[in-house]
Order: sequence, then C-alpha cells, then structure tokens
Amino acid sequence: MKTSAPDLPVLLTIVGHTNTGKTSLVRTLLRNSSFGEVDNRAGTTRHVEAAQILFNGTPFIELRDTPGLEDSVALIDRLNILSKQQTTGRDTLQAFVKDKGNLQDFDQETKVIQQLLISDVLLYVIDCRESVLEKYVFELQCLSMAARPVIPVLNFIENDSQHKNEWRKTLADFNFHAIVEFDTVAFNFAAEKRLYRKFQTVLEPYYSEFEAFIDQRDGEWQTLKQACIQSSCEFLLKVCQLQTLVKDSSVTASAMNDLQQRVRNYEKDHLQAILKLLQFTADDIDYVNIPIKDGRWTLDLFAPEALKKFGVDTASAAATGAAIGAGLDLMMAGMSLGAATATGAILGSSWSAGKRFGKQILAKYRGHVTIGLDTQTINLLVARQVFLLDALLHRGHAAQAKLLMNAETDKQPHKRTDKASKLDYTIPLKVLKKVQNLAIPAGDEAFETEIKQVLIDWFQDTLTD
Amino acid sequence: MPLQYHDKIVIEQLRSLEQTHQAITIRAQPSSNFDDYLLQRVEQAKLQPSLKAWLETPSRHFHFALMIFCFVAFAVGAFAIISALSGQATLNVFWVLIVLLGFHVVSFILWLVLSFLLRAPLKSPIPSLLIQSVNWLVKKTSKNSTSEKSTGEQPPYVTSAKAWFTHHFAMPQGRWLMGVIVHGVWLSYLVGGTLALILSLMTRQFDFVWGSTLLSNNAFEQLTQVLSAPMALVNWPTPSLELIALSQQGAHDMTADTRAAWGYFLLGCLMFYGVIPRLLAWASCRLMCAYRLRQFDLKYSDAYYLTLQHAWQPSSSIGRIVDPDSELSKSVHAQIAPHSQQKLPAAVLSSDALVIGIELSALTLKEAQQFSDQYLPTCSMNVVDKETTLAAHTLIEQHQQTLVLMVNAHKPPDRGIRRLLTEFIKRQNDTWIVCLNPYQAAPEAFLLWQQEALRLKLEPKQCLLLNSAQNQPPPQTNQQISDQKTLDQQTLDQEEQS
Repeated sequence: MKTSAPDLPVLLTIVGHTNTGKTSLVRTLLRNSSFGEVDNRAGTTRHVEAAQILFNGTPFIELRDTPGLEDSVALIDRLNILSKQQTTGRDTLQAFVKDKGNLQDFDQETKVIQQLLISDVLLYVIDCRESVLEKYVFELQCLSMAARPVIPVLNFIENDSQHKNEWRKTLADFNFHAIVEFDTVAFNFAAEKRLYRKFQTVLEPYYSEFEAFIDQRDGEWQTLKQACIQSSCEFLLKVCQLQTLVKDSSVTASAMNDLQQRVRNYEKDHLQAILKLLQFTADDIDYVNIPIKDGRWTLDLFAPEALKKFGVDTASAAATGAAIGAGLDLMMAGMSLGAATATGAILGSSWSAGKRFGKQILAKYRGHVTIGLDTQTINLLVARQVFLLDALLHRGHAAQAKLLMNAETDKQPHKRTDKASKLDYTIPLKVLKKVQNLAIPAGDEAFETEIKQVLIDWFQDTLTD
Repeated sequence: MPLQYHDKIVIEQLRSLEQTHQAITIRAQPSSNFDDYLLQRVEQAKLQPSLKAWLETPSRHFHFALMIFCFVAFAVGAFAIISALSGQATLNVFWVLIVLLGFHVVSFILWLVLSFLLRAPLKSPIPSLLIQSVNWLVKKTSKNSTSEKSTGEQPPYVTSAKAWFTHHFAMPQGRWLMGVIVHGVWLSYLVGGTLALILSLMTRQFDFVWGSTLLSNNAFEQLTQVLSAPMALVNWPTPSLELIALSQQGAHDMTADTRAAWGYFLLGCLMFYGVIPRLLAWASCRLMCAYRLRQFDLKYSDAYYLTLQHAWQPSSSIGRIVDPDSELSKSVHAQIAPHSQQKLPAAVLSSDALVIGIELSALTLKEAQQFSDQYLPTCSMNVVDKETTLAAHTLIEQHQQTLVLMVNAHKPPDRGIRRLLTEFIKRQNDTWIVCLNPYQAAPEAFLLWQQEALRLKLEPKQCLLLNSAQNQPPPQTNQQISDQKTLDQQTLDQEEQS
C-alpha cells in the first residue's frame, strides 16, 4: 500500500459476489460500454481485466475487474484452516494463493485474492436487491483479511432499497463505514463524485491529486451537459426555421412529406451527435420516427411578433438609408431639399422588409403557401429532447435495456418521461413559434443567440437534478 | 504553437462541413496537444482535393473580388479626374476640389461618426448579402442544384464560404474588416485620381480661378489659407495671399508660377485630405482588425470540439486482461437449446413431496406460500446458511419421497448454489427444480437454471418455471382430468342427441 509519495495510477480492485454489477461499475466509471462482458449468467467475468481512467492524458486510476466470489462458504472454510498456521489475515490470504491445491476448486477466488493483496483500495459491490445472506458475510470477512481500505458500493438502489439498511448495519459491524450509494445503471454524477471523494478520504497521500481530478471531472461533466443542451436547442431552432413554399395545392402532400423527412433526418443526426458526445452508441437507443400529424403550419405574416420585429428592423434600416441620403443632401449643399434623405429612408425600409418578408409577400401574391411545423409537432420535438437529455444524462454505460424513443415518448410510463409529460412547455413553444412567425433565416446570429439563450436557460432549469 | 487566426477559420470551416455533410471523414494522428490535433485534421482534410478546394476557395475568391474592386475604383478615380479636367483650360479650383473629394469627405465623416460616436456594434447587411450571393451563385451554377433544392441542403462550397464570411464579418472584427475594405477601395480611387491629376498637370496647361456671387473674397482667401496650413507644415508649396488675389475670376492672365502654385495646392489637397487620411484610416482599421482577429477563440465547450477531444485524448484506456481465465471450469457454461417445458405436472408433484427453498428472497417465499395455499406442498425450509444447510441434509435423508428444490428464477445459480444442489441431489434421485419468478425475470434467466439441471443430469421436464401464482392456472390432478374428460364426453353426447 502506498503511504508516502504518490505513485500513480492508484490501483482499485472491484470485488463482490457474482452478478452484483462489478463490470457495470467499471463501464460506468470509464464511460465505456464495451468494457468486459455483462450478462445475467453467474460468473460472466472469469478473468481479471484492467482499464485506466486518465487524467490529462496520463493514467490516474487503474480499475481491476475481478471474477465474482461464487462460493464464499467453502472459501472461508479453507481460509479458517489456513489461518491456524498464520499470524495475520494477509498471511492467510498469501498462503491461500500459494497453495496450488486450491486451483481446481477456487480458481476464480485465487484470482480475486491475488488482486486484493496488491491493491490500494477495494470496492465491494453489493446488489441491494438481495438480503444479507451468510455467504455475503463470509465475503466481507475475506475482504477484511486483506487489510486494505474497503469502500462498499450499494448498487441497484434505484427501484428496490428494502435491504439497504440491513446492508449498512452489517457493513458497520465490519467497520466498513465509507459506504457509497451508486447505481451503475441509473447514473448520477453526484454519486460518482461522492465515490471519488471516498477514495480521496481513504487515500490520504493522493489528496491533492484527487482534488484536482475531481475538479476536472466535474468541469468536464458540466461542459458536457451544457454542450448537450446547446446542441438540442440548435436542433430545435433549425427545425423551426424549416419552411417550404408550396406553389400548387396538389403537391402539398409531397412537400409535407419532404419537410417531415428533413425533420426526421435532422433529429436522427442530432441524436447521433448526442450519443457520440456522451460516448454511447446507436445500440443504446431504439429510435422510432417522429410522426408529424398534420404537420402543417401556415405562415402568419401578421403575427404580433412578426409585426413587432418588422417595425424594429424597418426603423433601423430606414435610419441607415436616411443617414446615407443625408450625406448626399449635404454634399449637394442642401440643393436637393432633403430628397436624398427621404429616398434613402424609403429604400432602407423597403430593403429590410423585402429581405425578411419579400418571399412570403410574393408567395401570397402568387397564391403560394408557406408550410412548416405545427405547434403540436414542435411540442413533441421539445418533449422528446427533454426525455432524451434527461435519460441519457442519467444512463450508466452499463445499462443493457435500450432507451425507447418513440412517438409517445412524452407519455411513456417511465420516471423520466413522467417528468417530460408534466412539464410546462410554454416558454420553449413561445420562442420557437416566434422563430417561425418571424421567418428568421438561418444565420441571423444576433436573433438566434437571443432565442437560444432563452431555450438553454429553460432546459437547464428543467434538467436540474 | 498557438493557433493563428486563419487556422482557426479553416478549422471552423471544416467544422461546418463535417456537421452538415456526414460523408466527410477525417482521420488524424495522435498529437501532444489539442491545437496540434486540430491542425493535423486540417492538413489531413487538405489531402482530399475536393475538401482542399472547399476550404481554400472562399478566401481566394474574397481576395480576388477585393482586388477587382480596388482596380475598378482606381480606374474610376483616374477617369473621374480626366473627365473633370477634359476640354477645359480654365478650372475653378474649389469646384474641382468638390468633384475630387466631395463624396470621399462625406463617406469619411459618416465612417468616423459610425465608428467612434456610435459605440454599439452595427450589424452590417454586407456579410449576409455576400453569403446569400455566394449561395445563389453556386446554386445556379451547380450541376446538382435540383437534388440540392429538394433536400434543402447547401452545397459544400456554400457551407464552407458561409463559415468563412460569418467568422470574418459577423463578429467584432467584422466592423474593422469592413473599414479595411471601404478604405482600401477609396484609397485606390484617390490614388487613381491623384496619379491622373499629376499626369494631367504634367502634360497640359490649366489656368486656375476662383469666384463667388454670394461669398466675399475674404472668405475664399481664408479658406485657401486654412486648407494650406497642414501643407505648409511640411513645406509643401502653397499659393500666397497675393497669388490667391491674382487668381480671382476676371483677373488678368496667369503666370507659370501662379499655375504651379495652384497645381501643387490641388495635389496637396488630394494628398492631405484624401490619400493620407484614407491611408491612416485603412492602417488603423487593419490594426484593429488584426487585434480583434487575434482575440477570436474556438469554443472548445461546443459539442463538436468535445467529441473531437474524446477522440484526441480519451478519458479512459481500453481494457486489457491482466490475469486470464484458466479455463478450469468452462464446462459449466455448456449451451443447451431452450425448451418450453414450463407446465407443472400434477401427478409428479404430489402432496408427499419435500419442498426446500434455496436462498429464497422474501418476495419469492411469499410467492411459494401462495402456490402452497393452492396446490403445492408447503415449503419446509429455506436454506440460507450453514445451519439451515445441515438441517436440509437431515430432512432429505429422513424423507425418501420426491424432492422439490425451489429457487429464485431471477438469480442465476452461482458455484455455491451449484455445490449445494449437487449435494442434495446425491441423496435423492427424484428431484425437481422449480424456479419461482415473482420479479418477472427474462426467459434467459430460466435458461441458466435449465443448463444447471442438465449439468445435474436431470430431465428437462424436471426443471420448471412458475410465474406469478395469480396468473398460473392450478395444475389438474389425475382425478380432475378424468372428471373433466367425463364431463366433456357427456356434453358431446348431449349435442349429438340434440
């Protein structure tokens, strides 16, 4: 055990009974769903596999995933026999490892005990759905013989916590007080942070290193979360800016299909980007196309927002035109009697109005219709984004069940979707409808920034844990 | 080495292309820092001819267009002077000055007012106009314009050009870059005009006059003196008061000295009130633009850069096996084909059977109780520790009937349980494994128990899955089956009779 100068990486061994989620814990901490093998079968992991968590590109923590302790009853019997000839628990474990006669019966346990003896910290993973059986108590006895700091990790706490207190009491009996509740499937960054804090506590020589590491990890998580929210807001803005001019009512249906397909493609692209960002894969999600029911929206030229923005824009453009005209008047020593100023103002306002509404006015004149997404569809898209972000930000990399993102996302009987269905969507709907009604072309940076900030603020409030 | 501004712009162009055109893939070698990694990606991208063209052409086109503008302005300036002077031997000095410098002075004052008095950044329509023009031009000339129109996607060149223009004009530096362009064009105009004036003055002889109907002579003399003041500072020849008086309209013929003095005065005015201020403004705009450009940073917190950061420096390493499986007990996982034997044969599970639970959870025990209330023998005990294991052994030895081992379907058998089952089965040949499933475990969990039954050399039918007691129809005893058959036969007979 390291007690003086920090020697990196810190060696952490994950132990526990079979099927308690040891490999899942490693996957979640590594943010890597391809580590090891996860299965319902007992003894899925039959080797010791290691992976490192990097800090500024260099290994900081080495996690060692071990096979499950499958028969602690027989193991403790063997250890009790050996302990009679040894003075300490560690000596007993070392004697066990050296005893080649154990290999046939205790192949996996030998691997685990070898790791216990060389590790800096032991993480004992507990399936809280199970009551404290005698075999688990024997496992704890075995761990305590290693004379290493043990951090019990209470797993599967999301739905069933009836045995949590029972476990806490038993762990206290063994003087294992640095307990952490960490669900490997229902991820919570605060819990991960608490886990690292426990490491910091039990590994005093590494205190400052862990402090910097936790700070960096926290910063990265916040940045990641912010980037996901921003990406969702950009996607929503992009789809709300989609408009199609329909020249003939007979082609409305095909134009609608095109529009819907574009919305679906954008959503899929955005989904891929988010999954990649959070280091998930396409296998983590079951995507069902969004059904755009009567996804028709007729541009209202006279929507209050449009008129308001129109007024502001026209005024500023008119002022610019008038200023240029005034220069010409001045140059002509007032002989133009201000005609240039007036002409400039008229040209300026016409240019501004034409730029923003020219197409729509022309379309109206020609009897064409501009179509976009209806309020219901926008609402659904926002709800799906809330569901997606909330679910992915709370999804461990060990989760096996696919995340279902279907048409009824906002109505699924699920904790996350319950949240999505109970939300008040007034603010995002208001700003997104504003984007539509103003027919803001993509690239109007100032306006987009303003709208995006409102959406980001709303998402941040909504996704607060 | 920190990234230069033009590198950042190319990186942003590449970002736009990658985000809008999924087919673009770029691989880069590992590098020591993220900036180098981004640069390497750009270099890799430029190895692809089409990408290289998309990334480099917007800048080239912009500079080419700017050069054309300057050249045209130079020609217009020269032409304006030549037309103003053509066909005239006598020139009104102040009228010529208005023609040469009038527009320039107005636009210069406007720029000064907008740049310094109105501190708020002004949104210029020029960038969006440029972007829209580029978009329109490329769409019109593109061979694939029809398909692009239908998909609503921009051609890659437009995407790249848009990113280039946006980053040059839409940020604080855009204001100064516009200044560089405007002053550059005006400078070309004035230089063209100045050179044309020098040529004209060198090759032709002009008489210079001045005169006014409303203004006094004194006002013109003072105006000339004021305009000459900066020139006098650098000993530039300027007309004296005597010469000014001599040049008034209607005065006698001019001498060569008078003409030269007015010629120098005109040239001086062009230089001191045209070329030099524009040159200074152009230089200051260029400096400010360079300063602002240096301040532009890539937003590494955006999703795009975060994803690249993951690729550049992963937060974790790939797993490696440090102690491999010694394959001593791999036979445990022998695969069997799943079978659908899940019915409870009543004839076998008679009331004489001994039922023992193996590590049953509280919920599973409750389930077992519900089954026993209906038709199963009561669970005699639940094996959870060494003590209950010993008790179970004793019970099995005493009881010579069928043994039913109840297990949790959701919990796969570990080696400890397998050892226990082996020991129990050794003592009793007619053994059944009943998996209770109150947690509604997936069918794969049951398959693991079936594999275990196979290992214990039990018949497939001797491993059963019982789902929730409420949903499971109670098994029929032999008597019940025969009763049902009689009833069915009676019904059939009745139907035949009717």
